[in-house]
Amino acid sequence: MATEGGGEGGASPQVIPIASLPLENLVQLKEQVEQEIIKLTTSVNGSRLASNRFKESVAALDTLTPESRGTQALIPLTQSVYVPGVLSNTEAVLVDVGTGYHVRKSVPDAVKYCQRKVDMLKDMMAQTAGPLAEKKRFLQAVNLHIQMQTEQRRAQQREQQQQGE
Amino acid sequence: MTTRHRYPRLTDAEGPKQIPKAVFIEDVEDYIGPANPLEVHRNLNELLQKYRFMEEEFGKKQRALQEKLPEIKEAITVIKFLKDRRGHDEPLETHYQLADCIYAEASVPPTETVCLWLGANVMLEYPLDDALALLEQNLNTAAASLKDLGDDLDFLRDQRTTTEVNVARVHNHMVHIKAKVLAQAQTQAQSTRAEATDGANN
Repeated sequence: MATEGGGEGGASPQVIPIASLPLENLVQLKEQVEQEIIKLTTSVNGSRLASNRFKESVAALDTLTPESRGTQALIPLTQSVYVPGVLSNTEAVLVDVGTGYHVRKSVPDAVKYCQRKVDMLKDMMAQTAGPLAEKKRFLQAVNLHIQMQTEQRRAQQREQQQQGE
Repeated sequence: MTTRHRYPRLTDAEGPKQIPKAVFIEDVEDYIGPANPLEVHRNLNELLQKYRFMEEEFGKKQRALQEKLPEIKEAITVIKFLKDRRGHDEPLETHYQLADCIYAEASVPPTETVCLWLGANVMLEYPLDDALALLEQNLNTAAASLKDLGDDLDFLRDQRTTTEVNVARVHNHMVHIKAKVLAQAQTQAQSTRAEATDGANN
């Protein structure tokens, strides 16, 4: 019989005997697991978006080569205001490392920084993938039991009705 | 003198921006009259949903405008700065955002024109004075729209509250009626039983 664990990310997953739970508890459990799945999925999506942004940063950095020094470009002074200008420094850039700090790095170092972030996010996503799949399987089992119990109840009600007649 | 409204009058003439003004029910029983209270309740609830939906839409527009306003102000500051530098010869050394977390250096010579991103993949080049005039106009329009939205939202909020109160009072009225009907039925049942026992005893 199904006694799948609904691990709460702790060291020892709880084993919840869903076969023996009454219908109301099952429904509560289902909602709880659905919420957890939503949280995990949102986190994975966020990581994916961030990873894409860092990949784009690498592509942008690739445009800064020693040859591109002195190229004319439209330089953004604000989100919507651009002025014609010239790329003056193609050796080093400022990298926003969070909490208001910017670090001057050489272009290759900046690329390595972005790459490290991409790899870190990939690891995070891989780590979440396992528990996420497990929770989805658990949810399926819970739904199955909810269905079975609902059918049982309906059958009982029908029997009672017939007996009453 | 307040006009006495009767169902099916849910709203008065339109207020500003075609937002209907909710009618305040002075006396619930008088307002419902011969109509079915359940129907009145249902229609009032529908009206309430409409108000809530409108409030949300207006709220979204308000938030979007509130985000745009600082952007426009920033652009104006930058253009004014560029205008001030018009006399100078040396180029401006600046850092610009190359990517999400990357800033690179550029050298900007003094310029008479500036490019403005107007959205929808459109960018236009303007002389500095024209750009400033355009942005200031945008700022004024945005500020005026924001104020209008604020007023509208206040009006909407009032109508929604009035309708909520109406819904609650109609609901209470229905509960009151049910209780009365139930009490009447009980007293009738008692009196018929009393008659029956009287008859049996006689």
